[in-house]
Amino acid sequence: MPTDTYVALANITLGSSASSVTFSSIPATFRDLVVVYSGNITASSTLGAYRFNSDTGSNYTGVYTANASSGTRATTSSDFYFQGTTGISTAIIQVMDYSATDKHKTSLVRSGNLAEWVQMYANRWANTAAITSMTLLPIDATSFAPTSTWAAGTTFALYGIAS
Amino acid sequence: MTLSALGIFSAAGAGGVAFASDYELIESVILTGSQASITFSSLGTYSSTYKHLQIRMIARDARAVDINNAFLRFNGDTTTNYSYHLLVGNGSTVTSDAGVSNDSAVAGGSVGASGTANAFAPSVVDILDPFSTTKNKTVRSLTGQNSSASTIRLWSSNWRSTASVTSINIYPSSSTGFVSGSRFSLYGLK
Repeated sequence: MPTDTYVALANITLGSSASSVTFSSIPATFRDLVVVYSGNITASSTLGAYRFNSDTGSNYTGVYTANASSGTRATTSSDFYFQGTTGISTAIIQVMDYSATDKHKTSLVRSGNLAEWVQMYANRWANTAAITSMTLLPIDATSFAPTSTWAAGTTFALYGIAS
Repeated sequence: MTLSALGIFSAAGAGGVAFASDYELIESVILTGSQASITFSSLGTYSSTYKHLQIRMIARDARAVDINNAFLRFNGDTTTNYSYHLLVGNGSTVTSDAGVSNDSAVAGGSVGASGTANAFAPSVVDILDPFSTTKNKTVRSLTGQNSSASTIRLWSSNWRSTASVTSINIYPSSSTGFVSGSRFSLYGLK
């Protein structure tokens, strides 16, 4: 018997700039999480990144491919990021099997921004713990250190998909 | 800013009347042991209910490689009625590929037995207008593996048949099958 599946869990629209946004106390009752982002970072040369369960250790690896009118790009990373920088950007982050305790947590991202980039990412958090929180923050595009803020008006929506 | 307590939006409204969802779980298969393939069958039952299908899967298999593909066949068709296009990045280069006479479409990816322990490959697979009898069938898949080897891939596949989809079979590109922990969930979109 089909069951209702795609549930809106939380919506954030920033009334003022913020250094980070956190979805916490994420229930384990769904199978996948989807985050829909649309917004801006107040400084240039920055990226949007996300972390799980307040883990700031070196437990994140990613691979991404991007294209712009200037050409294509492929690289790996030691952080989870999606295109941010100045200018409106959008992203959909799919976190699969987020509450499973038998696998690392791998997410898929599609994003794009006004600076002409279209991008896709596969990111793995090397931890079998269930995800209970997710923090999204801007980082420096070179050092990957937290920096700057999400601009007012930036939106983050969290959905749970049942299975 | 932190949301310490998530509010669940029931979409019920002041009157407490719930709206029906337009995105529904049809079936989910979660492996507790190895299995050569998985099949969603009797899908004709849903031809008047759903417009599109989506498969959300996360897979690992027993083949002794880092990265593997997961293939898809409709209605048991094993003939060369399938085509595909691929865009892939491996962390250093971006490449593309295509095939016009294949015996399967592509569902997504799978981490092989040589991949990093506990790593699985997620895939989101969209099957558009599967029940149409006037169109060939199109499959779009975003998949990636971040393991001892890493790729991010965007696949588009085509099944040259106007038959309404009645079954979907998914299998890895080896005979050793998917392993425990792999999960395949089928959703219908109205």
